[in-house]
Amino acid sequence: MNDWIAIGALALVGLLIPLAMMAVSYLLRPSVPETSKRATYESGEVPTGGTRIRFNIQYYMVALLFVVFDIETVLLFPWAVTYLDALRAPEYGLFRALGPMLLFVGILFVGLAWAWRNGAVQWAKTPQQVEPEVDRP
Amino acid sequence: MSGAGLLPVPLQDAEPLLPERLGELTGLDQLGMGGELIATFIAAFIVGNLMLAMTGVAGPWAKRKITAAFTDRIAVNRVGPFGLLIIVADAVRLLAKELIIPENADRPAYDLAPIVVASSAMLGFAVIPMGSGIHLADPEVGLAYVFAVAGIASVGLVMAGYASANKYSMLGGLRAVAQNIAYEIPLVVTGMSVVIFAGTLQMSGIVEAQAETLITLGGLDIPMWYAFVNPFAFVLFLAANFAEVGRNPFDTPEAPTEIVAGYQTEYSSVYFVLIYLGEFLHIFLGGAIIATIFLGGPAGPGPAELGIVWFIVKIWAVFLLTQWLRSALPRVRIDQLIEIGWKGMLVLAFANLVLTALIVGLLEAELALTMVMFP
Repeated sequence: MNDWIAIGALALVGLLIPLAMMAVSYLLRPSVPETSKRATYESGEVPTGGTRIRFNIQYYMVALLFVVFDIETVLLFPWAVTYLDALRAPEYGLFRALGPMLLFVGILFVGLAWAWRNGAVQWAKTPQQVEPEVDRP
Repeated sequence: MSGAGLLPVPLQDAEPLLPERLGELTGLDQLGMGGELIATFIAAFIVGNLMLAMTGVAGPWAKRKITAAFTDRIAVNRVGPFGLLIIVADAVRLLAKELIIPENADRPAYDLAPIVVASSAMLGFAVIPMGSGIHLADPEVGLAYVFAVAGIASVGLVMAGYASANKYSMLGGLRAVAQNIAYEIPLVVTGMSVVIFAGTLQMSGIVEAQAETLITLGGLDIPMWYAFVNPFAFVLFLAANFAEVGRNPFDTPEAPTEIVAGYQTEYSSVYFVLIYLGEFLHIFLGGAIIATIFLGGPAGPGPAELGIVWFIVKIWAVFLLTQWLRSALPRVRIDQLIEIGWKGMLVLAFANLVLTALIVGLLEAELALTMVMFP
């Protein structure tokens, strides 16, 4: 049987089990609607403001870096698989098997060093965090 | 070590996978395509439920017992022998809880997130060779596949965090995805250093390559498990794996003292069970990957039929380690987490990859090199 059919079967099982649990829970659980039961949880206080708040720019920076490095790992996988064969093949040898990969990783590391210097992997701080207010009420 | 890259060797003597075994055992393979499909489905059901059973033991019972042992308490001991029936009691209790959905929740995403988290983890087990013939599928891209499906969980976590319309959930979801992407690259790159040794991404090939003997110490054969061959990569992979599954010291996304419970703050009843289940499945999937690519998979002393036992022992060893670290190590802050990931782990992972490639290359080319250097 094809491997991917088996994986598809497991995907189906992986979907059916949560759905079955949901169905069982639907039959078992009570429903007692009360006022403000469904209010957003904010440590027991009355929730203030919306949820779509401004958050640290850092999350965006690391996500951008990730895209670059993730593509790199995808491109390195074929190299890792064929590396031993390339070493043993008489027409390649160590230099021609390892050299291009070193160059490729090297270019990306120049990029990482640049991002590092520009503070992309340094946690961004607000001005208040850098210089804390001395007399807070 | 055999490379499968340049010369695609047909695997005639490969062990039959679980669907085929079941087909032969039950006679379903006589019924043609439909029978084989049914056998495949039964096999998938067995694998899924095996992992579910382990999660069931780990979540409500083992976790409490282990943590209690570390903190000098007794924990669950009232229901059944050793409190084991708490598993049943907890399952009924949690499924029978009222489902409270926050009023501003983004409905389809809020409902889908628990399913995504739970089923993405289960998908990974398809390619894991668990020994004793329990091996659902063996595609050539096995290792890449397992990393890929394990990564889907990040989508589920960010869905849960965003759709809950809660500030804690939002922060938790953001932290979860920032952490997962920061440690995914060290994880995959360290895994790649193993692929260099094995020369294949196929899980059965990686396990087979570890069956050879590394050295013999006092009549005892030490197998060529990659944890012994490259201990540095093993430690690096373990650390990156703990960050991937969000366990101490990297449990920042659900840090209870900072953001209540992170992305799962607004989840109750069966949805909470599913997210919790997904997290445990991910811990076991991480353990299964570690066991397969570093600890020889189902290999162990005794007959080959004991494979599944050794495999479960190895997975539980990794689980025990997560619980130990949970009790022993403090949590890192989110800024430390990002810096450790991008400045430490990433650089170390690439250093490990380059060094491994260089050493393997030098060992292979030892003869040629000596001739060049000392003509």
